Amino acid sequence: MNTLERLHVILQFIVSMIIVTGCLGGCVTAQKVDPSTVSKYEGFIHDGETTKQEIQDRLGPAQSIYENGGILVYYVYLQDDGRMNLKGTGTCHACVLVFDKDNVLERHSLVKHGCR
Amino acid sequence: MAADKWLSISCSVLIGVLLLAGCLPIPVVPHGLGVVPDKEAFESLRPGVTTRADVLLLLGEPNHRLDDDRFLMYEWTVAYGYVIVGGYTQAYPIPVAAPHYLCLEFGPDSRLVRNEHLIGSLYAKPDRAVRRCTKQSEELDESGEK
Repeated sequence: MNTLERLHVILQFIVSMIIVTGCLGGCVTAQKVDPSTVSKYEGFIHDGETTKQEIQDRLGPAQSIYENGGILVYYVYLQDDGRMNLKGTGTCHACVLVFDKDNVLERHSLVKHGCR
Repeated sequence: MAADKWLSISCSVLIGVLLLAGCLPIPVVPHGLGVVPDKEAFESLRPGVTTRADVLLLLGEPNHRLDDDRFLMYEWTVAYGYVIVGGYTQAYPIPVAAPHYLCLEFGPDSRLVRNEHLIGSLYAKPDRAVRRCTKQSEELDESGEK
Protein backbone atom coordinates (compact mmCIF):
# COMPACT_ATOMS: atom_id res chain seq x y z
CA MET A 1 0.00 0.00 0.00
CA ASN A 2 1.56 3.29 -1.06
CA THR A 3 1.35 6.57 0.85
CA LEU A 4 -1.62 7.94 -1.11
CA GLU A 5 -3.67 4.78 -0.63
CA ARG A 6 -2.87 4.84 3.06
CA LEU A 7 -3.99 8.49 3.23
CA HIS A 8 -7.18 7.53 1.41
CA VAL A 9 -7.94 4.84 4.00
CA ILE A 10 -7.19 7.23 6.88
CA LEU A 11 -9.51 9.87 5.42
CA GLN A 12 -12.28 7.32 4.94
CA PHE A 13 -11.85 6.28 8.58
CA ILE A 14 -11.99 9.89 9.84
CA VAL A 15 -15.10 10.70 7.81
CA SER A 16 -16.81 7.47 8.96
CA MET A 17 -16.05 8.28 12.60
CA ILE A 18 -17.48 11.78 12.24
CA ILE A 19 -20.62 10.42 10.61
CA VAL A 20 -21.09 7.78 13.31
CA THR A 21 -20.43 10.31 16.09
CA GLY A 22 -22.82 12.78 14.51
CA CYS A 23 -25.55 10.19 14.16
CA LEU A 24 -25.29 8.84 17.66
CA GLY A 25 -24.46 11.81 19.85
CA GLY A 26 -26.05 14.93 21.23
CA CYS A 27 -29.76 14.34 20.75
CA VAL A 28 -32.62 13.48 23.07
CA THR A 29 -36.31 13.24 22.26
CA ALA A 30 -38.99 14.88 24.37
CA GLN A 31 -41.36 11.97 24.69
CA LYS A 32 -44.54 11.21 26.59
CA VAL A 33 -44.39 8.16 28.83
CA ASP A 34 -47.29 5.95 29.90
CA PRO A 35 -49.60 7.96 32.29
CA SER A 36 -49.70 5.02 34.68
CA THR A 37 -45.99 5.61 35.19
CA VAL A 38 -46.74 8.93 36.90
CA SER A 39 -49.33 7.36 39.19
CA LYS A 40 -46.76 4.73 40.07
CA TYR A 41 -44.21 7.44 40.87
CA GLU A 42 -46.65 9.60 42.80
CA GLY A 43 -49.48 7.55 44.28
CA PHE A 44 -51.82 10.48 44.89
CA ILE A 45 -52.20 11.41 41.21
CA HIS A 46 -55.26 9.67 39.76
CA ASP A 47 -57.40 10.75 36.81
CA GLY A 48 -61.03 11.40 37.82
CA GLU A 49 -60.17 11.54 41.52
CA THR A 50 -57.41 13.96 42.46
CA THR A 51 -58.40 17.62 42.77
CA LYS A 52 -56.35 20.62 41.79
CA GLN A 53 -56.26 21.69 45.44
CA GLU A 54 -54.73 18.36 46.49
CA ILE A 55 -52.09 18.67 43.78
CA GLN A 56 -51.23 22.23 44.76
CA ASP A 57 -51.13 21.32 48.47
CA ARG A 58 -48.67 18.52 47.73
CA LEU A 59 -46.59 20.06 44.94
CA GLY A 60 -46.97 23.80 45.50
CA PRO A 61 -47.38 26.33 42.70
CA ALA A 62 -46.88 25.03 39.17
CA GLN A 63 -44.06 26.22 36.93
CA SER A 64 -46.49 26.95 34.11
CA ILE A 65 -50.22 27.56 33.99
CA TYR A 66 -52.39 27.38 30.85
CA GLU A 67 -56.05 28.03 30.15
CA ASN A 68 -56.68 29.94 33.40
CA GLY A 69 -55.42 27.11 35.55
CA GLY A 70 -57.07 24.30 33.59
CA ILE A 71 -53.63 22.93 32.75
CA LEU A 72 -50.70 22.88 35.17
CA VAL A 73 -47.14 21.93 34.31
CA TYR A 74 -44.63 20.93 36.98
CA TYR A 75 -40.93 20.46 36.29
CA VAL A 76 -39.84 17.24 37.94
CA TYR A 77 -36.68 15.20 38.34
CA LEU A 78 -36.72 11.44 38.74
CA GLN A 79 -34.84 9.91 41.64
CA ASP A 80 -33.00 6.61 41.35
CA ASP A 81 -35.95 4.79 42.95
CA GLY A 82 -38.31 6.25 40.33
CA ARG A 83 -40.02 8.81 42.57
CA MET A 84 -40.58 12.32 41.30
CA ASN A 85 -38.79 15.20 42.94
CA LEU A 86 -39.49 18.88 42.40
CA LYS A 87 -35.90 19.84 43.07
CA GLY A 88 -32.95 18.10 41.62
CA THR A 89 -30.21 18.02 39.10
CA GLY A 90 -29.96 16.31 35.78
CA THR A 91 -32.73 15.77 33.32
CA CYS A 92 -35.87 17.81 33.78
CA HIS A 93 -39.20 16.21 32.83
CA ALA A 94 -42.58 17.91 32.47
CA CYS A 95 -45.49 16.59 34.49
CA VAL A 96 -48.58 17.90 32.68
CA LEU A 97 -51.92 17.87 34.54
CA VAL A 98 -55.22 18.69 32.83
CA PHE A 99 -58.27 19.47 35.01
CA ASP A 100 -61.97 19.47 34.17
CA LYS A 101 -64.34 22.35 34.95
CA ASP A 102 -64.83 21.00 38.50
CA ASN A 103 -61.06 21.15 39.05
CA VAL A 104 -60.75 17.36 39.14
CA LEU A 105 -57.81 15.80 37.32
CA GLU A 106 -58.98 14.67 33.90
CA ARG A 107 -55.73 13.55 32.24
CA HIS A 108 -52.05 13.73 33.00
CA SER A 109 -48.73 12.77 31.47
CA LEU A 110 -45.03 12.79 32.09
CA VAL A 111 -43.06 14.09 29.12
CA LYS A 112 -39.44 13.04 29.39
CA HIS A 113 -37.08 15.95 28.60
CA GLY A 114 -40.29 18.00 28.33
CA CYS A 115 -39.01 21.15 30.13
CA ARG A 116 -37.81 24.06 28.02
CA MET B 1 -6.66 1.49 -15.53
CA ALA B 2 -3.74 2.85 -13.54
CA ALA B 3 -4.72 6.37 -14.63
CA ASP B 4 -8.29 5.81 -13.36
CA LYS B 5 -7.01 4.62 -10.03
CA TRP B 6 -4.64 7.59 -9.81
CA LEU B 7 -7.48 10.00 -10.63
CA SER B 8 -9.76 8.39 -8.05
CA ILE B 9 -7.12 8.62 -5.33
CA SER B 10 -6.28 12.22 -6.28
CA CYS B 11 -9.93 13.26 -6.10
CA SER B 12 -10.38 11.53 -2.74
CA VAL B 13 -7.30 13.25 -1.36
CA LEU B 14 -8.43 16.64 -2.68
CA ILE B 15 -11.91 16.23 -1.21
CA GLY B 16 -10.42 14.93 2.02
CA VAL B 17 -8.07 17.91 2.30
CA LEU B 18 -10.92 20.35 1.61
CA LEU B 19 -13.12 18.61 4.15
CA LEU B 20 -10.44 18.59 6.81
CA ALA B 21 -9.47 22.18 6.07
CA GLY B 22 -13.01 23.22 6.88
CA CYS B 23 -13.73 24.31 3.32
CA LEU B 24 -16.48 21.76 2.75
CA PRO B 25 -19.04 20.49 5.22
CA ILE B 26 -19.05 16.75 5.73
CA PRO B 27 -22.64 15.63 5.19
CA VAL B 28 -24.18 13.39 7.83
CA VAL B 29 -27.57 11.80 8.29
CA PRO B 30 -29.70 14.72 9.63
CA HIS B 31 -30.04 14.43 13.38
CA GLY B 32 -31.29 16.63 16.19
CA LEU B 33 -29.08 18.56 18.56
CA GLY B 34 -30.37 19.05 22.10
CA VAL B 35 -34.00 18.28 22.88
CA VAL B 36 -36.13 17.36 19.88
CA PRO B 37 -39.91 16.92 20.09
CA ASP B 38 -41.18 13.41 19.47
CA LYS B 39 -41.67 13.21 15.69
CA GLU B 40 -44.49 10.66 15.90
CA ALA B 41 -46.29 12.89 18.40
CA PHE B 42 -46.10 16.04 16.33
CA GLU B 43 -47.11 14.22 13.17
CA SER B 44 -50.21 13.00 14.99
CA LEU B 45 -51.53 16.54 15.57
CA ARG B 46 -54.75 17.17 13.62
CA PRO B 47 -56.28 20.63 13.06
CA GLY B 48 -59.86 20.78 14.32
CA VAL B 49 -59.32 17.73 16.54
CA THR B 50 -56.20 18.19 18.67
CA THR B 51 -56.57 20.51 21.65
CA ARG B 52 -54.00 22.64 23.47
CA ALA B 53 -54.15 20.15 26.34
CA ASP B 54 -53.41 17.25 23.94
CA VAL B 55 -50.35 19.11 22.63
CA LEU B 56 -48.98 19.82 26.11
CA LEU B 57 -49.63 16.24 27.24
CA LEU B 58 -47.72 14.93 24.21
CA LEU B 59 -44.88 17.42 23.76
CA GLY B 60 -44.45 19.09 27.16
CA GLU B 61 -43.63 22.76 27.57
CA PRO B 62 -43.23 24.85 24.41
CA ASN B 63 -40.25 27.15 23.90
CA HIS B 64 -42.45 30.12 23.09
CA ARG B 65 -45.93 31.10 24.33
CA LEU B 66 -47.37 33.89 22.22
CA ASP B 67 -50.50 36.03 22.18
CA ASP B 68 -52.09 34.55 25.34
CA ASP B 69 -51.21 31.00 24.23
CA ARG B 70 -53.03 31.37 20.93
CA PHE B 71 -49.68 30.34 19.44
CA LEU B 72 -47.28 27.79 20.91
CA MET B 73 -43.88 27.20 19.36
CA TYR B 74 -41.45 24.34 19.83
CA GLU B 75 -37.89 24.91 18.73
CA TRP B 76 -35.02 22.54 18.01
CA THR B 77 -31.91 22.27 15.86
CA VAL B 78 -31.01 19.69 13.22
CA ALA B 79 -27.43 19.10 12.07
CA TYR B 80 -26.94 18.26 8.40
CA GLY B 81 -23.15 18.16 8.34
CA TYR B 82 -19.95 19.09 10.12
CA VAL B 83 -17.06 21.37 9.28
CA ILE B 84 -13.72 20.45 10.78
CA VAL B 85 -11.82 23.35 12.28
CA GLY B 86 -8.57 23.36 14.13
CA GLY B 87 -4.92 22.76 13.64
CA TYR B 88 -2.52 19.89 13.39
CA THR B 89 -2.88 18.69 16.98
CA GLN B 90 -6.51 19.54 17.74
CA ALA B 91 -9.57 19.56 15.53
CA TYR B 92 -13.22 20.16 16.36
CA PRO B 93 -16.32 19.28 14.37
CA ILE B 94 -18.62 22.31 14.10
CA PRO B 95 -22.18 21.36 13.14
CA VAL B 96 -23.75 22.83 10.04
CA ALA B 97 -27.25 23.09 11.43
CA ALA B 98 -30.60 24.69 10.77
CA PRO B 99 -33.26 25.69 13.25
CA HIS B 100 -36.64 23.98 13.17
CA TYR B 101 -39.84 25.35 14.66
CA LEU B 102 -43.20 23.73 15.13
CA CYS B 103 -45.73 26.53 15.10
CA LEU B 104 -49.17 25.74 16.48
CA GLU B 105 -52.14 28.08 16.37
CA PHE B 106 -55.26 27.45 18.45
CA GLY B 107 -58.79 28.75 18.06
CA PRO B 108 -61.05 30.17 20.80
CA ASP B 109 -62.28 26.60 21.48
CA SER B 110 -58.66 25.57 22.29
CA ARG B 111 -58.54 23.34 19.21
CA LEU B 112 -55.65 23.37 16.78
CA VAL B 113 -56.27 25.62 13.80
CA ARG B 114 -52.89 25.47 12.09
CA ASN B 115 -49.65 23.55 12.50
CA GLU B 116 -46.66 24.60 10.51
CA HIS B 117 -43.14 23.25 10.48
CA LEU B 118 -40.71 26.11 9.81
CA ILE B 119 -37.24 25.07 8.72
CA GLY B 120 -34.14 26.85 7.55
CA SER B 121 -31.51 29.47 8.14
CA LEU B 122 -34.12 32.09 7.23
CA TYR B 123 -35.30 31.54 10.80
CA ALA B 124 -31.82 31.63 12.34
CA LYS B 125 -33.10 34.47 14.51
CA PRO B 126 -36.11 33.22 16.50
CA ASP B 127 -37.97 36.54 16.12
CA ARG B 128 -38.39 35.88 12.38
CA ALA B 129 -39.94 32.52 13.16
CA VAL B 130 -42.13 34.15 15.80
CA ARG B 131 -43.28 36.77 13.27
CA ARG B 132 -44.09 34.09 10.70
CA CYS B 133 -45.83 31.93 13.30
CA THR B 134 -48.00 34.71 14.64
CA LYS B 135 -49.21 35.66 11.18
CA GLN B 136 -52.76 34.62 11.70
CA SER B 137 -54.38 31.94 9.56
CA GLU B 138 -56.63 34.46 7.83
CA GLU B 139 -53.65 36.57 6.73
CA LEU B 140 -51.87 33.49 5.36
CA ASP B 141 -55.01 32.46 3.46
CA GLU B 142 -55.27 35.90 1.91
CA SER B 143 -51.62 36.08 0.92
CA GLY B 144 -51.76 32.54 -0.49
CA GLU B 145 -48.72 31.55 1.57
CA LYS B 146 -50.43 28.69 3.35
